[in-house]
Amino acid sequence: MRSLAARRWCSLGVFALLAAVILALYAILSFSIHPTSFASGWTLWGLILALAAYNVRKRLTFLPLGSSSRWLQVHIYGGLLSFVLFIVHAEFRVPNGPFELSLTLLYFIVFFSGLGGLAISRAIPARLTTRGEEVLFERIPKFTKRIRDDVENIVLGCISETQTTAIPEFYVEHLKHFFDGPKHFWQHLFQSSRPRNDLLAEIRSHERFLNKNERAAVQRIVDLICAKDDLDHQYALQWTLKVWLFAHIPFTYALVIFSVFHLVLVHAFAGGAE
Amino acid sequence: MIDPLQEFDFRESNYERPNQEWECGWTAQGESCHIGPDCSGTCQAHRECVPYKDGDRYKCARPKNFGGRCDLGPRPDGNCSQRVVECQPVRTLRNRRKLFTFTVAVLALGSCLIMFGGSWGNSFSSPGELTLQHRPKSKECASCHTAANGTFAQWVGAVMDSKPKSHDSQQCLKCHDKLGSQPLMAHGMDAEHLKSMRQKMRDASEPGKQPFVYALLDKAARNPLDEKNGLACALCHQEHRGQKFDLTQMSNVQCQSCHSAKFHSFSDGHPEFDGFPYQRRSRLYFDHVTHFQVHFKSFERVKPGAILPRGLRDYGDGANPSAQSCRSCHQPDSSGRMMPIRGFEHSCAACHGAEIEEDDLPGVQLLALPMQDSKLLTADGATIGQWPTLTAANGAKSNENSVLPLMEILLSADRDYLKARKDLIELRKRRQNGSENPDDLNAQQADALQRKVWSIKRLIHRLGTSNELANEKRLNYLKPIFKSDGDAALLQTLSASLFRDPTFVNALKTAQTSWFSNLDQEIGLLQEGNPPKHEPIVVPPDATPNDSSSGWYASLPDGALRYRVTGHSDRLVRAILDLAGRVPHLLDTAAAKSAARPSPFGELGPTASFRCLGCHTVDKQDDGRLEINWVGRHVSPDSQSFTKFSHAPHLTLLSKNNCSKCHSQQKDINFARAEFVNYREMFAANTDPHSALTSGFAPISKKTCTECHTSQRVGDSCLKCHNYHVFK
Amino acid sequence: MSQGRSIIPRPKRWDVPFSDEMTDDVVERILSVAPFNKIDRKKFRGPITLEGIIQNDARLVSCQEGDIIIREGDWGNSAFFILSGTVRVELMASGKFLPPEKLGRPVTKRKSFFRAIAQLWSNRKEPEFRDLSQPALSGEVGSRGSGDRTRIYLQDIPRLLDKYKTVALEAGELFGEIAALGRMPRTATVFAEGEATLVEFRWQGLREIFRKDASMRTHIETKFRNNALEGILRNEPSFANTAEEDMQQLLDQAEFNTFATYDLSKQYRDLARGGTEGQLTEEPLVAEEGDHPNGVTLICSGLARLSQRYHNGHRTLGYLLPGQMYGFSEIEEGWKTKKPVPLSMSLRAIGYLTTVTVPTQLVERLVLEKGVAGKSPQTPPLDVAAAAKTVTKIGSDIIEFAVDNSLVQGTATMIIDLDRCTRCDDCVRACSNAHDNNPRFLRHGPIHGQYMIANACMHCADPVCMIECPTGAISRDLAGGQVVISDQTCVGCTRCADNCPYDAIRMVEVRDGVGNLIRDENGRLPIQQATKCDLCVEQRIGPACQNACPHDALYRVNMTDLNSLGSVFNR
Repeated sequence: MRSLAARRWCSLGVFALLAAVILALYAILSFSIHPTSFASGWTLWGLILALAAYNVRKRLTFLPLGSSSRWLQVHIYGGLLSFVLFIVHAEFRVPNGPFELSLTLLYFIVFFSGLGGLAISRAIPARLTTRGEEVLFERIPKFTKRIRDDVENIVLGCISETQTTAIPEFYVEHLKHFFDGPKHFWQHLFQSSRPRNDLLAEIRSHERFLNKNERAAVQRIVDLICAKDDLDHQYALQWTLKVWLFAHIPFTYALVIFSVFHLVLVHAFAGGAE
Repeated sequence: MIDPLQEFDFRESNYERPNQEWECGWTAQGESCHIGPDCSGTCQAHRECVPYKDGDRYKCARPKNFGGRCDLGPRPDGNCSQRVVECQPVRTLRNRRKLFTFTVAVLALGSCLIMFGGSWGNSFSSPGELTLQHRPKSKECASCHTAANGTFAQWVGAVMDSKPKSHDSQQCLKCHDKLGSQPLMAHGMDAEHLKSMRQKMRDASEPGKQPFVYALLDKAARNPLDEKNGLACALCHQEHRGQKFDLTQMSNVQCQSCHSAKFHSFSDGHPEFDGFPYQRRSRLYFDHVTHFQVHFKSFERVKPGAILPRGLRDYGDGANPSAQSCRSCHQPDSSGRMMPIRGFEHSCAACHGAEIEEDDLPGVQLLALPMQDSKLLTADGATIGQWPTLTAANGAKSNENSVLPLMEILLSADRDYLKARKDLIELRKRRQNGSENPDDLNAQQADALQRKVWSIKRLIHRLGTSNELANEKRLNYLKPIFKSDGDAALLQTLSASLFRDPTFVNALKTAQTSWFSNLDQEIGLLQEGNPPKHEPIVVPPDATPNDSSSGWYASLPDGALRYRVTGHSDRLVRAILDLAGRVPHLLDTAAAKSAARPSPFGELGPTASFRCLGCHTVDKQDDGRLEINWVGRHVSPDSQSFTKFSHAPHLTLLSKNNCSKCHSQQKDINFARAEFVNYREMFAANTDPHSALTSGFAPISKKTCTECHTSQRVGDSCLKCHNYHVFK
Repeated sequence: MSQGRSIIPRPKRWDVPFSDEMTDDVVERILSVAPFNKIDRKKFRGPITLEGIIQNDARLVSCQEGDIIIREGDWGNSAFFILSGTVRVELMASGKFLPPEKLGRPVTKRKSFFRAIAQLWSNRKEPEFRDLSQPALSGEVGSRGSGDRTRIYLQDIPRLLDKYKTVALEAGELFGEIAALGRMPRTATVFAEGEATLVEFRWQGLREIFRKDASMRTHIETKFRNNALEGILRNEPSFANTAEEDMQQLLDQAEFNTFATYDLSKQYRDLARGGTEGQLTEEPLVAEEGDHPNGVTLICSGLARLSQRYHNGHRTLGYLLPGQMYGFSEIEEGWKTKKPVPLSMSLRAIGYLTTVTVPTQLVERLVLEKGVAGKSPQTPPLDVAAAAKTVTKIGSDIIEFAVDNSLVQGTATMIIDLDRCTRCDDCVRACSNAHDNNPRFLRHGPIHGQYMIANACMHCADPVCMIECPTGAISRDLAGGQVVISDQTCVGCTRCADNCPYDAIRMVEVRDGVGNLIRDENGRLPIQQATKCDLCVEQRIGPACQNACPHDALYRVNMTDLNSLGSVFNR
């Protein structure tokens, strides 16, 4: 198995080569009186379809179409290439017609969402392994509930054992909201442990009002807080990993549809300038 | 720490199925049921326990992993005693994405269909604003795009078919109609012509210079010359680039794309102009060198009392005259493109005006009796009636064995004359190979000559006796000989200055009375068939009246009607010279063709040739006629050639208005007026537009222009000096 | 697909007998001959009677001239008793085998291209559809498609008999039981010489008999020496071409040992669960580092750990699997240098291990001196230095982790690199696409560092899940050797699921065509069946999960091969 780094360099090399070829071809052909935009346009269109085909391949898992990882590699570098082609096709300027503008907009949404998605897919997984227990996304709510139940049992326990309401009050004031559901999305996304520390700090500051048993209980609560916080961390990151596709895939379809119309339009209205 | 959250045991952990589209509605609360919703998203919770009837009572059938049997067991009616909390199943994240995708796709498709289906799609689908000049049309796509009238289906069809569609360019031509006959072809010329030019350029360009990418391109790009329907306007003029966009702005690259002789820039690689602007000699011959170096210096001496035009008084040293001295004769025209001469009166008259109407000259012979072979004519038995014995008078060169052009024209209506002329030419031939007996040759020649003489006398008779109208008729009856309208105009001039001119009529009368006193009877006898015998008439040498008034007069001794010019651009002389220029094709008889004439003007005598044609050069046309350049070069404002140059801006820009910066005098000019010993040589030189008859200026070299015309300075784009659209 | 009934009788053991032709007199006939007539029937109490076993777990197989009964290398889980006629065991003589085409190996029945595409729409929307209405086809028990009814026979027996070395087995003899019980591939090919009638026992039946009857157990012992042992030795190149008389010595002197810290696989599971360094010392020691080798040890079945003292503990340098060899290099070196060389590593049994030990002097005399050892052993003896290198390359912690949790069993262990996995579940969806819309694994499992060992069947070299299956519904695919479960014969007893130490087998409530749970007609409890990864044995592509991973995170790794491990763990 070739090492991933080696593969990356290899792919980058190929990409650079192709990009150079495209630019060179553009440089040469732009000396022709005939516009390059039709050649580049068709190429770009074909490329976009090929890139979109990745979605289809994902459905045909049971056919020998080559491994999905190979497809993804092609998809990534093809995507980058499409950007070069797009710039060349738009001839380094922003189109000023409403339709073409929206087409451009769609392309940029798709391209940059893809780019962002790539960054996310590479950056986040490693972070997921570093902190908190690895859990299935679907199960997070269940575990959240389990932790909440545990905490509430502890809290109720405090009432029954030591007839004081220090912990319950504290829980209602500061913790209930936290345990209700996933929290601190952005902090977790940007690796801030601020909320956790704040909560713990608050608890510590309360400890001095508590007796021995209560402190024991608090210790258990603290553990649960950390567990819940880790769970939130998992939730935030896994959610991000899934949700970027909400931009990438739907607008790809829109892009393809628009591009078809664009294609028909430019050919019909070229007035012989092909 | 707390225990790990996840269990992997199949009893503890739920069987997650990410491929399912629905999940239990309670999942968010973390209380999802075991069984989950079905594929259509309906809750299945009630299936977890289906009590069954065993004997007479219902039993619970809830398996352990669904919570196990409950203590109460099912109700008597057979329903589960547990409250089944049915949920509203929710779509999984992925399923929601699928839904969203579908929505977006539908919206996109819908919006497109509405845009292009609806009438107001125009503004939406327009790829950008039109330029201001096209703005009025921008309301309707159809005014430029034929496709705009089509349906979407037709557009799709248009994408499919591969044949070139330049029909939209026709729309452009509706307004832009002044682009020549075939405006869509490259340069508005036919491909063949262009191909030849192209080859020429290719030969001209040095191969080393051609940049690599161009070489590549020649392989890569389509050759526009091959385009059948020509090139679409939109190829170069790309609209929808905003209001301010300059449609006529072209890059050098665009020109070079077709041109096989390619180069980097004007200064680097552009071929040297050969002899520009002197590929041909100027229409009006003017030897600047001699004038500046000789004549103007010696002006006072040569022409005492005459006044040089103001600018010329300080023409500087002969080498490089001051701008004033140039502008005293050359002034920019209205368009500022050319610097035409200000005209004879202003520029030349000071010296040459008088020279033209010199009194001591006898005037131009226009009609004359042929004098040749008087021996034959005057021999006994020659039946030619009265005939003056002519003596060359006033040193005027005698008009030997030839009929003057005007005479020719007037006679050419007479079939007898034409026959006689034909016979004479044949006779001359036979004489030359000298096989035959000279006597009967002589006899035949005498006969031919007599016929010729009679036709001349008939002509004079008619001219003299018959009234103007008849003469008009005569001229009209010559009309078919003349081809173009120009000729007709010529006729008018001719008739006007001949027959309406009193001096002509008088001169004719005088001549007739003194040469053929009883012409009437003779013509009568001739018609009866017995022509009178030869009767010599002696004209006294001093019979010519000596008034120096311009116009016609009969110079009786040498049997000619002479004409004194009224001055520069004398209408009659012009008309006659023009006519003469047409003679070669005019007298389209074998005789005329065989007649060896170096110049039709020859018969007009050196005077005319030297006087007029000294300055007014002659251009031989393709059909053999000779066109006299009466005026200098004239360019019609609504025509375009490949190269354009406008003097006006350069005059203001150039340092101290110095014309000689570009027009430097050519010192070693291989032309000296003296060399022309006779008008024939001169004429030979004169009729060749590429002869050495230059105006005495060195051709302008590329260097002159590249001083300023670089991309850094005033720009060196092709279109600065070249036009793409070429039309007359 | 017809929609199955949603109410059926709960499947039970012997619901689906091995054959339906076992009439009572056939059973009597079998019981009348040796060794069955020696078995004390009283030992069989309760529901499982000897008759019952023979009735349900056995069947009659009548063979024509040349019919192949078992094929060397196949995974079979049944033994054969010869009623009449003669069969021939084809021994590996001078390395010559019957060519595979002669043996007519069946090709695994893959889905046709169109069937594969058809899965796009033919897959059920509802999970876990089963059609249990019609009974399982007899003769197809324990295998898919190509059952053992599809007989192939050998051409031109006489010539074969000259060409290949064979031994005849006469009526009354039992064969194939070693492979069946020892969970080893068949060691030889057996074919009928002329007409023959056999009784085929599925090993569940055999197991019962051996458990209950001592005479049979001894019978096995002797049989093992006489048949299987030679097969095993012949399997090992070092001994492959030993002369007959020497071989006899080998057979007499070789020791057959079983090391086990448990009897039932349940315990083995717990053992594997609590895998810790502390446990190592408790593992039964086969041979200790530093001792002088008393012979070459061949692993017959089970799993053994190679470890070396390291500071105060033991460092695992590798592991041996069936067919591999221990102690050869030391003996060889010692014989060369003429002075004894101590063992460089300890050999410990992990859970259940059967070994054969050939005494040192025999090895020296037969293998080294006679120079028959032109061939090196099948698996080149583990070079300690190299091993240590690989281990450090992979990360010794991972090795320890793998061995302690006996993940090294896995021939197709699913390893997910969590640093690359984006949790997109493409693998799970691909899996469900390939299995009628049912994912056959869960993307969860024990994590070591950045690596998750997902709970997908790792197709162990020594599958403990097959031990207790009452119906043989879980078995090895005849062609590929993958461990597969037959929906037709699974009775949902959950034994395999309980036995699997890796939670790779899960029980599911099966449903009919419209998504109703299929329920037992009495008790009305939903009927469960065991499900697990089958490595997409039916699909045209390899494991769909690995194919579908966009980020090179998921791999099916053959843990028994250190190098392939290295390539995955070290990218």
